[in-house]
Amino acid sequence: MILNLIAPFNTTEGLGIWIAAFLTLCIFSFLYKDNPFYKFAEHLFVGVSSGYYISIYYWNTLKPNMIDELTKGFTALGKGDMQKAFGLDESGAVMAEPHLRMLVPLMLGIFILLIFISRKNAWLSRISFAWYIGVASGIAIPTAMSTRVLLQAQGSIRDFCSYNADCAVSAGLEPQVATTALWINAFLLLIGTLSALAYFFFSLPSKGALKVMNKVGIYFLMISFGASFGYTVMARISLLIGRLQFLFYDWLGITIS
Amino acid sequence: MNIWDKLSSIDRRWIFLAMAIFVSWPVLKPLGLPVTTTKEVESLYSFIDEIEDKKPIILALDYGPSTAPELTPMAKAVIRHAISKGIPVVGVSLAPDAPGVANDIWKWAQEELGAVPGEDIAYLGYKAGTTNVILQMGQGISKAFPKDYYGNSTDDLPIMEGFQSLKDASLVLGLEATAIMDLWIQYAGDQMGVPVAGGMTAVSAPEAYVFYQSGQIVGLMGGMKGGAEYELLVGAPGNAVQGMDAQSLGHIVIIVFIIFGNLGFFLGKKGQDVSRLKSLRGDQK
Repeated sequence: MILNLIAPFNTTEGLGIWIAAFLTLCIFSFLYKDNPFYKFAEHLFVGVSSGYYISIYYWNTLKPNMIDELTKGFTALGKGDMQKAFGLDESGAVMAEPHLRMLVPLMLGIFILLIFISRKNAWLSRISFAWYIGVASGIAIPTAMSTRVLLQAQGSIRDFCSYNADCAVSAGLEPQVATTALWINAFLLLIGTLSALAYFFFSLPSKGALKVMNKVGIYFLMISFGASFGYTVMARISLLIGRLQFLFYDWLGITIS
Repeated sequence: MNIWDKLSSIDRRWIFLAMAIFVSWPVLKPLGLPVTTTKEVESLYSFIDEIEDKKPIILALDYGPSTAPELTPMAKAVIRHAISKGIPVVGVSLAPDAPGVANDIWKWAQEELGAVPGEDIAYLGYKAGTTNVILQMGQGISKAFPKDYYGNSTDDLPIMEGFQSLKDASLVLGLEATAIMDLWIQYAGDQMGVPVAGGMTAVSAPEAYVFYQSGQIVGLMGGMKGGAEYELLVGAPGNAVQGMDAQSLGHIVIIVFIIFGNLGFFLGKKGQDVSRLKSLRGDQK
């Protein structure tokens, strides 16, 4: 371990490192107890984040998609080019740039804001929400059903099929040589899926075989919660390691020999 | 108050101090504990290793500075691997706080790997709209990103030659701190048929393993450990491998405190009170 110079204070990068190190220590100070340094860093973070997101959304979404398009549209309209103003080429075909067609989403956006501005006209927001929910559902439901339900159901018995050469070929899977461990894995997966589903089946009293399934399902769920907890601990420690690496290597200039 | 009661009511600041010491120590003086590789990461490595047609990899950098310690090592290791194989990498971001982190990675790739911007690597920046952006990329990359992050026309970049839409990509690798991974799998993978892989924060990784098991993704890196595995496979240990010693000691501290906490509860007064209450309830029945 070699201790070099602390990050130079007189360069832009060095100053940035010093500010980041100071704010990191301010946040860590909360671990001892709440204090003004922590409060300062917390409020600064909230303020800077809000400003950053507003700026990002303005420059990446609002300006290119709305303001620029409307400006181009009204400019074309001013020159008397009605077709171009509404994003149509000379043959009347729809162009990629919408120009004044953006007035429709602008209007739908204003309708949503009416909730906060005018109670009398707030009902107009329902049109915007109906459109949004309709389109979003139409796009999301079929693919989510396929990805989350159908392919996952297929996945729960996939291994059994891939251990049989004929089945694997007909299903387009890569045939595998089944070992005892792989068979155990495949059965565990199937039993885990079925028993966890049975645990959430509330239309029959939990008696007999269903009770046994429920019990097994609880154990599988508890194992999955345990795995999630372990991964969460790993995630949090990773973030701590990231900050320590920054403080030791970038700020204090320590190099590991 | 006996020792068990003291154990269950220990001041949390002692736990923080223990954690700080045991995590700092290996960061300053690595212990060299072994890191083994898993088949989820190995299969991603093999997939990239076997790409022969040199079609670009789409690297979706959908994370910000808060999760960079977990995901940036993955990004760097994968870029190193792809560049060494001559496979171009095109970066996009669907998270608004990603461009700063991505820009740093792109600079690193140019300085450390000698990657030529616009030829070996390109970063197209951030665009709002998640699902819509992925669907637009399916119709045409330049439709979703007319200009790259640095203001160049996307169509004019040499890397885009023969790479018109998302469907032309050899792989979409989502480095994700949010649920955007689901969208890449749904639309790029299941709908457009593009191979998809994931590099997830440890918090999100357990949910992604089901997609690996069902064959919907070709590989998965989970948390800092996933990044460390890829660094080892590429043969260039970096921050993730360095962090794994600290990770292991941190976990030992947590395990020890969980054991102490439980012993304190069950053998201390609180636990005895609970068992007494339970036995009283049993008597009433």
